[in-house]
Amino acid sequence: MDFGMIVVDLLNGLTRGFLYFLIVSGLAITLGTMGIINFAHGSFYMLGAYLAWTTAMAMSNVTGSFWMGVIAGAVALFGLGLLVERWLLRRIYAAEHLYQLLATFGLVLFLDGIVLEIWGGLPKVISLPEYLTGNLSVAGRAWPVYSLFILLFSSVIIAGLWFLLYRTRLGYECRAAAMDREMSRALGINVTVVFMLMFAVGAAVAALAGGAGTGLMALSPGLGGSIIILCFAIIVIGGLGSLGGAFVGAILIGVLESFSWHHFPDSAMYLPFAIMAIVLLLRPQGLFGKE
Amino acid sequence: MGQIRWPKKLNKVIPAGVVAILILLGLLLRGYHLYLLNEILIMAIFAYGFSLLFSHAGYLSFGHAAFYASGGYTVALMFKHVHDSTWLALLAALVVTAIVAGAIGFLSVRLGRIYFALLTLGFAQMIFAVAFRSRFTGGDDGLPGIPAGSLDFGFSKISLASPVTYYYFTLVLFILCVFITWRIIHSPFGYTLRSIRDNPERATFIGINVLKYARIIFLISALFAGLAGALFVPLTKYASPALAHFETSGDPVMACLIGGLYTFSGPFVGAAIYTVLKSYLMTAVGNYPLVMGPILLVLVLFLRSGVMGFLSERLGRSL
Repeated sequence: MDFGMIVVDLLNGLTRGFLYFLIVSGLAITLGTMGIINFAHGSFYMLGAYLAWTTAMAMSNVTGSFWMGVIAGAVALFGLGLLVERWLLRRIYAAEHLYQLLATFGLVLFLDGIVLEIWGGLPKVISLPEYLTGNLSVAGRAWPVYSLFILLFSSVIIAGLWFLLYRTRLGYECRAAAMDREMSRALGINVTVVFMLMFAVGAAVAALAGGAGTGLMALSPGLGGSIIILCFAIIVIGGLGSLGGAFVGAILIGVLESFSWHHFPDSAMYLPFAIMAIVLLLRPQGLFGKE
Repeated sequence: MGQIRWPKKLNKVIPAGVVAILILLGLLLRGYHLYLLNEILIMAIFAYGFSLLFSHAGYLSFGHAAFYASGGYTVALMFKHVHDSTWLALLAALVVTAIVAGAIGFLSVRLGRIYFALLTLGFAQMIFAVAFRSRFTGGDDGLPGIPAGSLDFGFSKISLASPVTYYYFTLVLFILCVFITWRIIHSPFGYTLRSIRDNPERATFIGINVLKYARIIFLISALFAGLAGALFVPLTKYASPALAHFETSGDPVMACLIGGLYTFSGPFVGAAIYTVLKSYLMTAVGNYPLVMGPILLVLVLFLRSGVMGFLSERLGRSL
């Protein structure tokens, strides 16, 4: 095992980690502001990826079809996010967390069923534009351009999310509502609309990750379930309610996965959960969680 | 809506009647229908275990597939490599399930209920990954060709290869599990659990060791799941990673929600409806999540007490 290989493994791990964080961030925002654990967030990712695939296939002879797909998926999921918030979540904000989990689990099943009905059970592969297919040379080793693209794409979207939360009126209002719903209402913030928009933004971000990231994870029904379980593990590792913790958790999982796929492929699949168990043993509240 | 008067005699007549019908159905049904009935009983054992944990202690486990698979794979491995004695295989299955559940339970209960749901889900996925990638579990192919086993009573040996014999064996264990559930929920232990479910802080203040009770009921609940898995694998003659898949964890959740979380007959009725519905949807529609998802949504939004809960309210009597 030489230096170049370690660097490439590390870079691939960072790529995965950034993509994971992109998915987890939407989940964390919903959890942090609305207090909803959205089991269906992984399904939003999956659906976004499928919609991107279909759009890209339909427009395959047009330049930029890949991007059209990514954007179409995000727009569609933004719309679906609005609908789900309006017709499902709003009815159960007051209910126990466990019922929210059960309701969104119902959504997971339903969306799985939809995907199976429309796209069938066979895995799908998205065709990347030519400028994303080559290899770069890093420390004497080949590293796919696509990985660099995911790294940059995720960073841009994450920066955009940060901007939305901390530099726009919607972000201020959303954080205010997260701290104190009643007081925010009294100050004239339309909390209902703010929550609806933020939930839709979270869904759209998941779809962006799905559309752009399909090159990293094969697209098949049931992907939503495995993604969301991984996201939960990342949140538990980072600490419930800590976005920085989620970032560290995502990078940690991404990098360790990348190394173990390469060197111990049999253990890579359960590695995230083994790390989760170890973190729980040593630090039950998660790496960055408060007591 | 007026309430119907409930004759007290029915308390004993109904369970006896249900058992009589189940015995009779074993004689009447054959082939696929007997298989389905057997599956219902196994699903009911699974669901009763889940309901002890969720309905009575308030802990929503999304990871009971871990124990279902532990039981199932242990039986498969025992039959394949050790002996065809069902007693021995079931004993081993329960021991392995207890070990797995002890470890998962220890880590999962101490951070409260939201965490609990996420953690059980994660640990079950870990068991799924182990089953999917390990050589001893046959990887994603699983372990096919599992025999039905046999019961050795010392003086005589009964083979369980006939579906009818296997059905009656499952029926005996089902009745035993229902009886154990009944005893647990009507014992001081059961009342303690419900006090934890309704208000963990207050339960702590009156001197109840919440974590200890949560871990005990988690273990009992997992053993039910392990037994269900251990009975399911010889029925289908096949142990596959699907046993540990998170949709399997959803099975007892669905059964209990359909039947009704807070009624005694709920898990059984729910298991029956769910198993038949799922089997119908898989064969006739070929896509069961498409229908099951909306059903779950309707249950959570409009009918949280489930079928038997709904009937109980109408009859003014807990069923």
